[in-house]
Amino acid sequence: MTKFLGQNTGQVIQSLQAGAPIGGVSSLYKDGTDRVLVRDQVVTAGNVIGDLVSLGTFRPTAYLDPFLSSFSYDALGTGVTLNIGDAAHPVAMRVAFPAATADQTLIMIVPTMPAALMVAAPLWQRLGYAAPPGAPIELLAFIAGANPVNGARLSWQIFGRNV
Amino acid sequence: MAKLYGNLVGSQVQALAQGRIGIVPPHCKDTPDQVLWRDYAVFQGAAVGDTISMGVLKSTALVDPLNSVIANDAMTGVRWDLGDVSFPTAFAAALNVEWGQTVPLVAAMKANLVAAPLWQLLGYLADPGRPIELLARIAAASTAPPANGTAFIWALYGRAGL
Repeated sequence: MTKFLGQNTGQVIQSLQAGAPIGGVSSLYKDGTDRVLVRDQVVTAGNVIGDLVSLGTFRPTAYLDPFLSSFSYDALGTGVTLNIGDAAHPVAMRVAFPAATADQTLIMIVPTMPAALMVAAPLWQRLGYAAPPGAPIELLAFIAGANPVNGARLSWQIFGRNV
Repeated sequence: MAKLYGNLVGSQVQALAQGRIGIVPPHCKDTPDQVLWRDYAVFQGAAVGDTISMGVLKSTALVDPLNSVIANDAMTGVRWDLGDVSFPTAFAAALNVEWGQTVPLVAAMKANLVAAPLWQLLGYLADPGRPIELLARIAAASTAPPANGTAFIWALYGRAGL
Protein backbone atom coordinates (compact mmCIF):
# COMPACT_ATOMS: atom_id res chain seq x y z
CA MET A 1 0.00 0.00 0.00
CA THR A 2 1.59 3.22 -1.14
CA LYS A 3 1.33 6.45 0.75
CA PHE A 4 1.70 9.53 -1.42
CA LEU A 5 3.27 12.67 -0.02
CA GLY A 6 2.63 16.23 -1.17
CA GLN A 7 5.30 18.03 -3.17
CA ASN A 8 5.29 21.33 -1.27
CA THR A 9 5.33 20.07 2.27
CA GLY A 10 5.04 16.31 2.74
CA GLN A 11 8.11 15.31 0.73
CA VAL A 12 10.24 18.05 2.26
CA ILE A 13 9.35 16.98 5.79
CA GLN A 14 10.07 13.38 4.93
CA SER A 15 13.50 14.28 3.59
CA LEU A 16 14.20 16.16 6.84
CA GLN A 17 13.19 13.05 8.75
CA ALA A 18 15.56 11.07 6.57
CA GLY A 19 18.45 13.31 7.59
CA ALA A 20 18.53 15.99 4.93
CA PRO A 21 19.91 19.32 6.11
CA ILE A 22 17.43 21.80 7.57
CA GLY A 23 15.74 23.97 5.07
CA GLY A 24 12.81 23.47 2.90
CA VAL A 25 9.17 23.93 3.70
CA SER A 26 8.03 27.38 2.67
CA SER A 27 5.74 29.28 5.00
CA LEU A 28 3.63 29.80 1.91
CA TYR A 29 2.54 26.22 2.29
CA LYS A 30 2.66 25.47 6.00
CA ASP A 31 1.99 27.49 9.16
CA GLY A 32 2.15 30.82 7.35
CA THR A 33 -0.65 33.35 7.25
CA ASP A 34 -2.18 34.70 4.08
CA ARG A 35 -3.01 38.35 3.86
CA VAL A 36 -5.84 40.18 2.22
CA LEU A 37 -3.88 41.41 -0.79
CA VAL A 38 -6.84 43.32 -2.20
CA ARG A 39 -10.52 43.55 -1.36
CA ASP A 40 -12.22 46.06 -3.62
CA GLN A 41 -15.13 46.86 -5.88
CA VAL A 42 -16.20 48.97 -8.84
CA VAL A 43 -19.58 50.04 -10.24
CA THR A 44 -20.13 50.13 -13.99
CA ALA A 45 -20.99 53.47 -15.58
CA GLY A 46 -21.04 53.89 -19.35
CA ASN A 47 -18.68 50.97 -19.83
CA VAL A 48 -18.20 49.15 -23.10
CA ILE A 49 -16.65 45.93 -24.38
CA GLY A 50 -12.91 46.05 -23.97
CA ASP A 51 -12.96 48.13 -20.79
CA LEU A 52 -10.65 46.93 -18.05
CA VAL A 53 -10.94 46.71 -14.31
CA SER A 54 -7.68 47.05 -12.44
CA LEU A 55 -7.83 44.33 -9.78
CA GLY A 56 -4.52 45.16 -8.16
CA THR A 57 -0.82 45.38 -8.81
CA PHE A 58 1.43 42.70 -7.36
CA ARG A 59 5.02 41.61 -7.40
CA PRO A 60 5.62 39.08 -10.17
CA THR A 61 6.57 36.61 -7.45
CA ALA A 62 3.36 37.11 -5.43
CA TYR A 63 1.51 34.01 -4.30
CA LEU A 64 -2.25 34.18 -4.83
CA ASP A 65 -4.33 31.63 -2.97
CA PRO A 66 -6.06 29.60 -5.67
CA PHE A 67 -9.08 28.58 -3.60
CA LEU A 68 -10.09 31.64 -1.59
CA SER A 69 -9.36 34.41 -4.10
CA SER A 70 -12.72 35.17 -5.65
CA PHE A 71 -14.68 37.48 -7.87
CA SER A 72 -18.37 38.38 -7.39
CA TYR A 73 -20.72 40.39 -9.57
CA ASP A 74 -24.21 41.74 -10.14
CA ALA A 75 -25.98 40.88 -13.39
CA LEU A 76 -23.94 42.70 -16.03
CA GLY A 77 -26.40 42.18 -18.87
CA THR A 78 -27.11 39.58 -21.53
CA GLY A 79 -24.04 38.28 -23.25
CA VAL A 80 -21.49 39.94 -21.01
CA THR A 81 -18.47 37.81 -20.18
CA LEU A 82 -15.32 38.49 -18.21
CA ASN A 83 -11.73 37.50 -18.74
CA ILE A 84 -9.09 37.73 -16.05
CA GLY A 85 -5.38 37.99 -16.61
CA ASP A 86 -2.90 40.75 -17.25
CA ALA A 87 -2.11 42.89 -20.28
CA ALA A 88 0.21 40.32 -21.80
CA HIS A 89 -1.91 37.26 -20.91
CA PRO A 90 -5.47 38.54 -20.75
CA VAL A 91 -7.22 35.18 -20.43
CA ALA A 92 -4.70 33.32 -18.29
CA MET A 93 -6.72 33.18 -15.07
CA ARG A 94 -10.24 32.99 -16.44
CA VAL A 95 -11.68 32.87 -19.95
CA ALA A 96 -15.08 34.22 -20.95
CA PHE A 97 -16.97 33.40 -17.84
CA PRO A 98 -20.58 34.44 -18.24
CA ALA A 99 -21.62 37.42 -16.13
CA ALA A 100 -25.29 37.81 -17.03
CA THR A 101 -26.62 36.22 -13.85
CA ALA A 102 -26.60 38.17 -10.61
CA ASP A 103 -24.88 37.30 -7.36
CA GLN A 104 -22.38 34.81 -8.67
CA THR A 105 -19.05 34.18 -7.04
CA LEU A 106 -16.22 32.47 -8.84
CA ILE A 107 -12.82 31.47 -7.71
CA MET A 108 -10.42 33.67 -9.58
CA ILE A 109 -7.94 31.10 -10.80
CA VAL A 110 -9.04 28.62 -13.42
CA PRO A 111 -9.65 25.44 -11.42
CA THR A 112 -8.58 23.10 -14.21
CA MET A 113 -5.07 24.54 -14.22
CA PRO A 114 -2.35 21.89 -13.71
CA ALA A 115 -1.79 21.26 -10.01
CA ALA A 116 1.76 22.59 -9.92
CA LEU A 117 0.70 25.88 -11.49
CA MET A 118 -2.41 26.19 -9.40
CA VAL A 119 -0.92 25.43 -6.01
CA ALA A 120 2.79 26.06 -6.24
CA ALA A 121 3.47 28.78 -8.78
CA PRO A 122 4.28 32.48 -8.48
CA LEU A 123 1.98 34.87 -10.25
CA TRP A 124 4.20 35.34 -13.31
CA GLN A 125 4.33 31.60 -13.95
CA ARG A 126 0.62 31.14 -13.44
CA LEU A 127 -0.08 33.86 -15.99
CA GLY A 128 2.09 32.12 -18.55
CA TYR A 129 5.26 34.21 -18.66
CA ALA A 130 8.35 32.23 -19.58
CA ALA A 131 10.42 34.29 -17.11
CA PRO A 132 9.58 36.85 -14.41
CA PRO A 133 8.86 40.12 -16.23
CA GLY A 134 10.94 42.15 -13.77
CA ALA A 135 8.15 44.67 -13.18
CA PRO A 136 5.02 44.60 -11.06
CA ILE A 137 2.07 42.82 -12.62
CA GLU A 138 -1.31 44.49 -12.79
CA LEU A 139 -4.12 41.97 -12.74
CA LEU A 140 -7.01 42.98 -14.96
CA ALA A 141 -10.57 41.92 -15.57
CA PHE A 142 -11.66 42.49 -19.17
CA ILE A 143 -15.26 43.15 -20.08
CA ALA A 144 -16.17 41.14 -23.16
CA GLY A 145 -19.14 39.76 -25.05
CA ALA A 146 -21.47 42.76 -24.79
CA ASN A 147 -21.64 46.23 -23.30
CA PRO A 148 -22.52 45.99 -19.59
CA VAL A 149 -25.49 47.68 -17.93
CA ASN A 150 -24.88 50.73 -15.76
CA GLY A 151 -24.78 50.52 -11.99
CA ALA A 152 -23.66 46.91 -11.72
CA ARG A 153 -21.15 46.09 -9.04
CA LEU A 154 -18.07 43.95 -9.44
CA SER A 155 -16.18 42.98 -6.34
CA TRP A 156 -13.16 40.86 -5.67
CA GLN A 157 -11.03 39.52 -2.87
CA ILE A 158 -7.51 38.31 -3.39
CA PHE A 159 -5.75 36.43 -0.61
CA GLY A 160 -2.17 35.32 -0.54
CA ARG A 161 1.29 36.72 0.02
CA ASN A 162 2.90 39.54 -1.91
CA VAL A 163 6.33 37.94 -1.52
CA MET B 1 -38.16 39.89 21.24
CA ALA B 2 -35.28 37.64 22.13
CA LYS B 3 -31.79 38.33 20.93
CA LEU B 4 -29.49 35.35 20.80
CA TYR B 5 -25.76 35.63 21.33
CA GLY B 6 -23.25 33.17 19.98
CA ASN B 7 -21.91 30.62 22.41
CA LEU B 8 -18.27 31.12 21.60
CA VAL B 9 -17.91 34.88 21.20
CA GLY B 10 -21.16 36.79 21.65
CA SER B 11 -22.09 35.52 25.10
CA GLN B 12 -18.53 36.02 26.34
CA VAL B 13 -18.42 39.60 25.10
CA GLN B 14 -21.83 40.14 26.70
CA ALA B 15 -20.47 38.86 30.00
CA LEU B 16 -17.59 41.33 29.86
CA ALA B 17 -20.02 44.14 29.03
CA GLN B 18 -21.89 43.25 32.21
CA GLY B 19 -18.77 43.28 34.34
CA ARG B 20 -18.20 39.56 34.54
CA ILE B 21 -15.14 37.82 33.26
CA GLY B 22 -15.72 36.19 29.90
CA ILE B 23 -13.05 34.53 27.86
CA VAL B 24 -13.41 34.27 24.11
CA PRO B 25 -11.64 31.19 22.73
CA PRO B 26 -8.42 32.42 21.14
CA HIS B 27 -9.25 31.06 17.72
CA CYS B 28 -12.76 32.51 17.48
CA LYS B 29 -12.36 36.28 17.26
CA ASP B 30 -9.97 38.77 15.63
CA THR B 31 -7.39 36.20 14.77
CA PRO B 32 -5.99 35.22 11.38
CA ASP B 33 -6.28 31.67 10.18
CA GLN B 34 -3.04 30.08 9.16
CA VAL B 35 -2.27 28.08 6.09
CA LEU B 36 -1.93 24.71 7.82
CA TRP B 37 -0.98 22.80 4.72
CA ARG B 38 -1.26 23.74 1.02
CA ASP B 39 0.01 20.98 -1.16
CA TYR B 40 -0.44 18.62 -4.06
CA ALA B 41 0.64 15.02 -4.65
CA VAL B 42 1.34 13.44 -8.01
CA PHE B 43 0.47 9.76 -8.54
CA GLN B 44 2.79 7.11 -9.91
CA GLY B 45 1.63 3.50 -9.87
CA ALA B 46 -1.27 4.23 -7.52
CA ALA B 47 -3.65 1.46 -6.46
CA VAL B 48 -7.06 1.44 -4.83
CA GLY B 49 -6.52 1.62 -1.07
CA ASP B 50 -3.40 3.81 -1.32
CA THR B 51 -3.35 6.94 0.80
CA ILE B 52 -2.18 10.50 0.51
CA SER B 53 -0.67 12.11 3.58
CA MET B 54 -2.55 15.41 3.78
CA GLY B 55 -0.59 16.67 6.75
CA VAL B 56 0.34 15.90 10.32
CA LEU B 57 -1.43 18.29 12.67
CA LYS B 58 -1.82 18.75 16.39
CA SER B 59 -4.84 16.92 17.71
CA THR B 60 -6.11 20.26 19.00
CA ALA B 61 -5.73 22.02 15.64
CA LEU B 62 -8.73 23.97 14.49
CA VAL B 63 -9.15 23.00 10.86
CA ASP B 64 -11.56 25.36 9.17
CA PRO B 65 -14.09 22.84 7.88
CA LEU B 66 -15.68 25.14 5.32
CA ASN B 67 -12.72 26.85 3.67
CA SER B 68 -10.41 23.85 3.63
CA VAL B 69 -10.78 22.20 0.26
CA ILE B 70 -9.69 19.38 -2.00
CA ALA B 71 -9.53 19.15 -5.78
CA ASN B 72 -8.07 16.77 -8.33
CA ASP B 73 -6.99 16.56 -11.95
CA ALA B 74 -9.27 14.93 -14.47
CA MET B 75 -9.60 11.28 -13.45
CA THR B 76 -12.16 8.59 -14.14
CA GLY B 77 -13.79 6.35 -11.57
CA VAL B 78 -11.75 7.60 -8.62
CA ARG B 79 -13.47 8.13 -5.26
CA TRP B 80 -11.94 9.54 -2.09
CA ASP B 81 -12.29 8.69 1.58
CA LEU B 82 -11.18 11.57 3.81
CA GLY B 83 -10.24 11.19 7.46
CA ASP B 84 -7.40 9.67 9.45
CA VAL B 85 -6.20 6.13 10.12
CA SER B 86 -8.77 5.50 12.86
CA PHE B 87 -11.65 7.29 11.18
CA PRO B 88 -10.85 6.98 7.48
CA THR B 89 -14.22 8.27 6.28
CA ALA B 90 -14.86 10.87 8.97
CA PHE B 91 -14.96 13.79 6.54
CA ALA B 92 -16.16 12.08 3.38
CA ALA B 93 -16.78 8.57 2.04
CA ALA B 94 -16.41 7.58 -1.61
CA LEU B 95 -16.40 11.24 -2.65
CA ASN B 96 -16.38 12.03 -6.34
CA VAL B 97 -14.64 15.28 -7.31
CA GLU B 98 -15.11 16.52 -10.84
CA TRP B 99 -12.18 18.11 -12.60
CA GLY B 100 -12.30 21.86 -11.99
CA GLN B 101 -14.37 21.51 -8.86
CA THR B 102 -13.18 22.36 -5.37
CA VAL B 103 -14.93 20.50 -2.60
CA PRO B 104 -15.00 21.31 1.12
CA LEU B 105 -12.85 18.99 3.19
CA VAL B 106 -15.79 18.12 5.41
CA ALA B 107 -18.63 16.87 3.23
CA ALA B 108 -21.53 17.29 5.66
CA MET B 109 -20.77 19.88 8.28
CA LYS B 110 -22.26 19.39 11.71
CA ALA B 111 -23.10 22.79 13.19
CA ASN B 112 -21.72 21.89 16.62
CA LEU B 113 -18.30 21.21 15.08
CA VAL B 114 -17.64 24.63 13.55
CA ALA B 115 -15.07 25.40 16.25
CA ALA B 116 -14.18 21.87 17.33
CA PRO B 117 -10.63 20.58 17.73
CA LEU B 118 -9.47 18.18 15.06
CA TRP B 119 -9.85 15.09 17.27
CA GLN B 120 -13.51 15.89 17.83
CA LEU B 121 -14.10 16.74 14.19
CA LEU B 122 -12.80 13.28 13.28
CA GLY B 123 -14.98 11.49 15.81
CA TYR B 124 -12.54 10.61 18.60
CA LEU B 125 -14.25 10.46 22.00
CA ALA B 126 -11.20 11.95 23.69
CA ASP B 127 -8.03 13.73 22.61
CA PRO B 128 -5.64 10.95 21.53
CA GLY B 129 -2.78 13.09 22.86
CA ARG B 130 -0.62 12.73 19.78
CA PRO B 131 -0.40 14.37 16.38
CA ILE B 132 -2.98 13.31 13.84
CA GLU B 133 -2.13 12.55 10.24
CA LEU B 134 -4.97 13.42 7.89
CA LEU B 135 -5.31 10.96 5.05
CA ALA B 136 -7.06 10.87 1.72
CA ARG B 137 -7.60 7.26 0.67
CA ILE B 138 -8.41 5.99 -2.79
CA ALA B 139 -11.74 4.49 -1.81
CA ALA B 140 -12.67 0.85 -2.36
CA ALA B 141 -15.60 2.13 -4.42
CA SER B 142 -13.16 3.43 -7.06
CA THR B 143 -13.39 1.64 -10.39
CA ALA B 144 -9.81 2.63 -11.25
CA PRO B 145 -6.86 4.23 -9.48
CA PRO B 146 -5.63 7.69 -10.52
CA ALA B 147 -3.55 7.59 -13.70
CA ASN B 148 0.19 8.26 -13.56
CA GLY B 149 1.02 11.94 -13.52
CA THR B 150 -2.37 13.11 -12.25
CA ALA B 151 -2.53 15.07 -9.02
CA PHE B 152 -4.56 15.39 -5.86
CA ILE B 153 -4.68 18.94 -4.54
CA TRP B 154 -5.60 20.26 -1.13
CA ALA B 155 -5.44 23.30 1.14
CA LEU B 156 -6.05 23.19 4.89
CA TYR B 157 -6.68 26.49 6.66
CA GLY B 158 -7.20 27.08 10.36
CA ARG B 159 -5.22 27.33 13.57
CA ALA B 160 -2.34 25.05 14.44
CA GLY B 161 -3.72 24.22 17.89
CA LEU B 162 -2.74 24.56 21.51
